[in-house]
Amino acid sequence: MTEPTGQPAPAPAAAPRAAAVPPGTAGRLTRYRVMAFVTGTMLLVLCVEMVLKYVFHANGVDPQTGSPLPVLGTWIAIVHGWIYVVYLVTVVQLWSAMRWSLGRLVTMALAGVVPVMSFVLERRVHAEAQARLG
Amino acid sequence: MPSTPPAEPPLTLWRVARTPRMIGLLVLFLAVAAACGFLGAWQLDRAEVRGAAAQAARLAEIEAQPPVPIAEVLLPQTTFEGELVGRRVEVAGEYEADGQLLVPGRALGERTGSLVLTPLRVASDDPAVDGAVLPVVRGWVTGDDPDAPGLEVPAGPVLVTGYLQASEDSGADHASLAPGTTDSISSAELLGVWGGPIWTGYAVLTSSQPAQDVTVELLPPPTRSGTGLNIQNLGYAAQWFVFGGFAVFLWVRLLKDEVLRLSGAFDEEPEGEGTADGDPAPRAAGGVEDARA
Repeated sequence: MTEPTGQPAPAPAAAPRAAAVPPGTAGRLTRYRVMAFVTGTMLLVLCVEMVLKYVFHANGVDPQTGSPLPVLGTWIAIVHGWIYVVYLVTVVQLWSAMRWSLGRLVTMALAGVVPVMSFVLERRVHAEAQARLG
Repeated sequence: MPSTPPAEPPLTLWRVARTPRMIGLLVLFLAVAAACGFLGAWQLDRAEVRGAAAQAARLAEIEAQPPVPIAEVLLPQTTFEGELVGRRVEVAGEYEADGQLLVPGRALGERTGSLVLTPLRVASDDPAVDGAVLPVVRGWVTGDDPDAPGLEVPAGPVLVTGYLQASEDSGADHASLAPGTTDSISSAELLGVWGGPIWTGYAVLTSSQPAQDVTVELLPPPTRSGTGLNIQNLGYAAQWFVFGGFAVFLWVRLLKDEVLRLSGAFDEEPEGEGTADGDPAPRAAGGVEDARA
């Protein structure tokens, strides 16, 4: 944490030289931002589905196998899986341009599978990247 | 693998790759990739198991349905919809013994033999189906001799039940085949041999009254092709393999960073990295392009 995370105020122009980033980083940041939002939303939908399906058996169980039936649809899990793959691509691209640590990469990857975490982390990451972008 | 980088005298990728730090990381990332590959294989296995379970459930469902008169689900000369595969139907009529054909080269379990394909001239109060021809696969026999004993059809009116199956694609020209045989169960071709009107699918016999000779073995219910794998697990498997690929890619990325770091690019002026390994990410550490001295 470098700056207060609330409003990513435009960083002063006195960005240190070592923090400079390659051209195209702003685009990577935008793509990461969009995917963090999409992945986070999709994960919440998936969680709702899981709770409805496995906890409340909202759609009943298969009479033959006894396993709970999908409520909103199996497609949610399938779609989340592929969205997460795209999210990871944007994470690696941004992480690569920003030259962050390996630990940061792991955290960003985890944020796509821990509910709500992607929203929280995205604010921090965005603020920090904005400061570097100048 | 990044084994032969461009020749850069002091610090080549290859030399940096052999440092203990990078070898350690390589082992780590390969372990991650292996774990991903293992999980992918596990999901492939699950896809197979769940797909087979779904297929078994569908088969059980098929076998549980009572047969319905064929006119209720399919009329002659109309399109055979995919969901009709496996529907149990019953139909009355008379076999035309002269039209019977053997379809050699067909497997039942591990054995190869012939299907016995017989035209059934339907007799019904319903004018839409009366007089039409339904191809019936009466079963399977060893060998491919159309005159072998046991192939005689039950004479007179028969009541037949069977599973519906879609017609096959046309095979070779009938004139080129041995007499009394065919190489495909194609309604379009059979129409020319047996006359019409004809159904666009055929029936796989489950029972007939009067009974037929036991030499002809009954076939299991037909299945639709392409339902053997569970699509959800198939997707997960693909994703695990993608993650494994990420791990390998990351090591290459870190290796390039390490080369830059060791050559001092991060604390001094930016160095235009002379890489052409197809990795679009790494550029100079500095914002100014190509500010080499």
